[in-house]
Amino acid sequence: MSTSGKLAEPPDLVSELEPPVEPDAKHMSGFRETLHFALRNRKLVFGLSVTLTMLLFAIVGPFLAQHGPLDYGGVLSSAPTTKDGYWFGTTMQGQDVFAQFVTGLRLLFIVGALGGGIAAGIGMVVGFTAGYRGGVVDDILNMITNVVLVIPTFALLLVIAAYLQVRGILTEAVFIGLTSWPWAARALRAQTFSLVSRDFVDMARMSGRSSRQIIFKEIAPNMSSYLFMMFILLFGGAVLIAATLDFIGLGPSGTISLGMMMQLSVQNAALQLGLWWWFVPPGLAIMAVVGSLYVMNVGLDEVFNPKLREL
Amino acid sequence: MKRIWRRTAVGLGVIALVATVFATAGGAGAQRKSPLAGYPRNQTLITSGSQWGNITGTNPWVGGAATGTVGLLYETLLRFDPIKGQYIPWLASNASFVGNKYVINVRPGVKWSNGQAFGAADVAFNLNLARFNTNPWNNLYLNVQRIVPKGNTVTVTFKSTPNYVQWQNMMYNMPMVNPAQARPAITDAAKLTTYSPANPIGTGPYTFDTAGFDPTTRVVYDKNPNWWAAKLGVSPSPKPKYIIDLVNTSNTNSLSAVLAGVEDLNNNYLPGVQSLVNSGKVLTYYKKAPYMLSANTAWLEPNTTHQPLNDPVFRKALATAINVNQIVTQDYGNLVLPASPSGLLPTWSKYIDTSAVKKYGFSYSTAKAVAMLTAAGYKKDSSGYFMNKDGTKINLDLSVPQGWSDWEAARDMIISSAKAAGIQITAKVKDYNTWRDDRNTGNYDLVVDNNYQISDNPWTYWNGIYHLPILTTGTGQTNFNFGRYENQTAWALVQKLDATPPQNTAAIKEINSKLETILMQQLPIIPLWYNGQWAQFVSKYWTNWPSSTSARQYTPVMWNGYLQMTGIDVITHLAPKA
Amino acid sequence: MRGYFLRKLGIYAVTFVVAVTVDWAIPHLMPGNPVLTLVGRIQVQDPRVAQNLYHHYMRAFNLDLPLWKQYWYFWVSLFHGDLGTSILQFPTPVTTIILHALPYTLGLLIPATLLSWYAGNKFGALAARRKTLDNTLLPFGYALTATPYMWLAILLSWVFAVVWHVFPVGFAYDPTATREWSWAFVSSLAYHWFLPFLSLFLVAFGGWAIGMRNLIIYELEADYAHYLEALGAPQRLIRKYAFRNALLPQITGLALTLGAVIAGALVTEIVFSYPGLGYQIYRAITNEDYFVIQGIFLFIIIGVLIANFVVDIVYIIVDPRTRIGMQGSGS
Repeated sequence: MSTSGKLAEPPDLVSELEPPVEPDAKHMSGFRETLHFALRNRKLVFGLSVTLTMLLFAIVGPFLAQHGPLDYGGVLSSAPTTKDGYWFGTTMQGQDVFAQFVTGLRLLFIVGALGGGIAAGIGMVVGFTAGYRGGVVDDILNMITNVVLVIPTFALLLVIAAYLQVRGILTEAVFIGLTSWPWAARALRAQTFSLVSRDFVDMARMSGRSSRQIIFKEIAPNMSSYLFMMFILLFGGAVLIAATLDFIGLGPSGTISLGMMMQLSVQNAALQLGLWWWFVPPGLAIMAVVGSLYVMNVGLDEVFNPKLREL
Repeated sequence: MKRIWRRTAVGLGVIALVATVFATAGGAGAQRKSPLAGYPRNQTLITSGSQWGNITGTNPWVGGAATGTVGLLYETLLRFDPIKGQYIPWLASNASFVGNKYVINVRPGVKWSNGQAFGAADVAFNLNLARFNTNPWNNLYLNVQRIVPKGNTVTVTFKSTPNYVQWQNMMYNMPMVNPAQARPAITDAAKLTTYSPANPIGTGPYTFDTAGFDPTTRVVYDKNPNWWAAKLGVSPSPKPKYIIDLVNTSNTNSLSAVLAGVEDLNNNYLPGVQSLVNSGKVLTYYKKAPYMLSANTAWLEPNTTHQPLNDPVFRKALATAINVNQIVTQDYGNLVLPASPSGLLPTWSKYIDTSAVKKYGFSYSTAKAVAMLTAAGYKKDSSGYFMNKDGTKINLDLSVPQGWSDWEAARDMIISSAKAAGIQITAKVKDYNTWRDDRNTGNYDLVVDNNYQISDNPWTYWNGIYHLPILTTGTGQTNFNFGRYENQTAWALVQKLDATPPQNTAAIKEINSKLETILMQQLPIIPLWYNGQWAQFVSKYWTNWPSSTSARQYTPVMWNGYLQMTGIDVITHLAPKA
Repeated sequence: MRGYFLRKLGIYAVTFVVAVTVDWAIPHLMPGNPVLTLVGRIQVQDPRVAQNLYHHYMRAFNLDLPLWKQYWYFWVSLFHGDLGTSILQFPTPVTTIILHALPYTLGLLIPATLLSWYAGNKFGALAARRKTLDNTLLPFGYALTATPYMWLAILLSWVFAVVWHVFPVGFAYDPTATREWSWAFVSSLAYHWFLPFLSLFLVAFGGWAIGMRNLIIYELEADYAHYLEALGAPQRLIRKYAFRNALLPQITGLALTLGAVIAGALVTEIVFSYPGLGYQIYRAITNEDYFVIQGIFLFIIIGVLIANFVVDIVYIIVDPRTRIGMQGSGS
């Protein structure tokens, strides 16, 4: 698997061939050791700082904006200026691009966290159960995964989104979450398979623990780093899917998102009229956030997997 | 190691080379003037802006057909000039009511594109096609007793009072198809909707080019060298040897195409085109605001069955509260004109009763709106909004199709100016289909809408506004009176207008005046602005485009129904750039 | 081996039935009636005519039948190769619409996917070995894979078509070209194809490059790699084995990303007005053209299933462990 394709997630930024973490015996110093390497890993530091900066911008930005994102009144199509707080210029209808940008940035984080979280949740449930139980349960879950994988989920999202009369950011995130879990489930299933045969799991089984307890208390903690990285990838994927949906015109009603900014700018001939301040910042922001998340992910991989640290 | 670098460099170099070769060859190949390589650009008129989505064929009655099916390929008995307000004799040298019969004098010398003569029998055949219930003029046919072709004349006798207005309107809209082709093919109502011969024969100045036709991309027309109008001197012979109309996929690609000279004429709504006109990069009909001729009226449609929209005083107050000027200047950048309170387009100015407009018309004034409501007994509640007379809250929903950004901006401006007057309106977002279905079934409070294009008679507007009965079952209101306004007097007047012979100018004027007065007093619809006949063109290959300051005052639009107005004159007056 | 294939086919068959059912159901469950759009387009003056037309079209499209009957007829016509008639573009059959649009989409997808896979993997493998490359050019890979498809399309269109006029802004070929197999026409096709292709290629390239780079690094740290190194095997040999092992997940990835790249193709087609499947499905959805939606979805489903199957076969050929594994248990 690779990171190509925005909407199927890049499971191989995380290895499928080896579990990333040994069952730890020395918990305390292991953590300190991890932290030590974490702070030294350039990719992790870079990715994390960019993401946190954007997050800060998203939280603080709307308070800095001097106009509402959907308010009219500015000079039509003006370039970025320091006058009146139109720092990112105006749209063709005289709206404040900066206000729209920070609003969209907030929505980006919401949709990523929620969509990614839901997908991660479903993926975990399906993947763990399939991997641990095996047999018929595995076959059935496998089939469900295949079906959801094969259905052109993006086209499906289009249809469903067109079906909804009023679209909110939450509904969008939920639907994205409901359709992007298959690859996560598959990867987790593979990981669970490899852990299930380990000694500590056998011991837990022999001591009479229930399956659910084993899954949540023994297997999951061993994959915690893996799960975290998977969530990051799902977050990035959700952001990209949402941007594409918004661009096609199926974005949330009553507000403005980065994808919608790109859609409106293209519709209003911003390219031909040279209104670059309208369409460059939204895409740049998405690229920055998702890109830094991916970079951070690779860094985390190196941190958690000692074998990679040499490079 | 070095080998890898070299290989990579070579690989990239090859890709770059291939790309450059494609680019230059493609660019060069596209410019070649030899007819073997394609349609010579300087003899071709390339247009776009009418065809959204794949071309389904050349069926002139059902939508989706290639642009120019009626106008370039097929023609009509009369044509209509909306700027001068006159009919133009075309395939018929005369078509009018004589007593209570309709007499059509077919022009002698008209020929089909295959050389055969066009005569009264052909006209009768096409009129008789209205007997199928899928034909748009079927309702008129139900009132026909006899259609008799004789010599060069076709006489239509009616069963009862003729529909004077509708019949005249049909004269410049009904296409004349070739009976030899159509008769064997159209045997029932269903076949009428699928009729699309591969090599259609029409009387028009252009013929359908089967080789160039690509349903996803373009339709190509070849000049008809034997066009009757050029031969008889009725019209100049068009200079473009080919006309290619491109399928639209997006507004902005059209703008790029126009700027690059890939298209000559474009009929899309292109926001921001004003700056391009001012810098001389494109041309429009008017050199300054409003740049475009008016095409139809955009209005606010209230659902008159919902409280308090069933109160004409409330509707009047709402109209007075709306800042249309803000919409015209900020949303449209002056590409449109604010509408007359009568709602009638400038082309019908001779029917507009100016004294009635002065007396009953409305204009923007927040204070006046508040005063009107207060005087009528409406009280404000604690949040500052007016309440219904029975004490319930007023919160009207206003919707436009999602994605129509100019209407969305207009909607927001309406909401904020109504708020200033104490009327609470909330935006409801719906995609086009839901919006349309809700409007048709009455599941809405307010919509911004526009429906009826420019025509030869304001009757088409009155019919749309006052039409009764209101269908409560099935598909709901599919074409008219979405506001469900029931006014028997008005409807009776509309029907009377259709039953008044055109020579009774005094009676016609009086009926129109009454209908306008009712409109302005009752406001079943609230006129807002006139949408434009969006048209921008460049003179890279063709000159002599229409303009308000020249003798060529024609409608530069290729949309359905416009070519047979004066759209075809635009084409026949073009001159190649020397 | 046979058991493995039969099982796989079985799973694909069930997936097909379920997917087709969902494919049929969703458009029909959407509210609104596409026939109303069709009727609304005809300028009628009398609502009686509108009602007539409405009933006529409802019957023509079988839309007045109960839902289960419509479902049944769907399967029957499917096996006759008839995907129905478009409502919006009446009377064009859906298969005609698909066949017209398919070459354009395949022309974008296949070269973009295959070339980006090949080039991305090679580049990623290169970057895994050379630290300089890893630190300078690979960050671009991250940026590329994080770029939304349409944004890159917009940027390319803006820079190369609007500002610099090097490539055309859109459409499939020059409007004045005659459609024949001449050098002029083919070069016009290529000229208009380049920017959309480039946009899809670049984004996918970034992803494959990063993926491959990370996989190679894993492989180089695996036990067998260290063992070979200890034995004194040349670097090239180790890297060759590492590359081959890393290739396996990339092959599976190819099948997985097919559905995703189609979405990218859709927005790219919209930006460049390229008349492919993506544009058709977008119009069909916004106009509730049931049969076109179903038809195109079906195409995509079948394509993805076939691709998955092919990848399964390739995987077996390439990875000896799966063959051994199959001989052991029932995989």
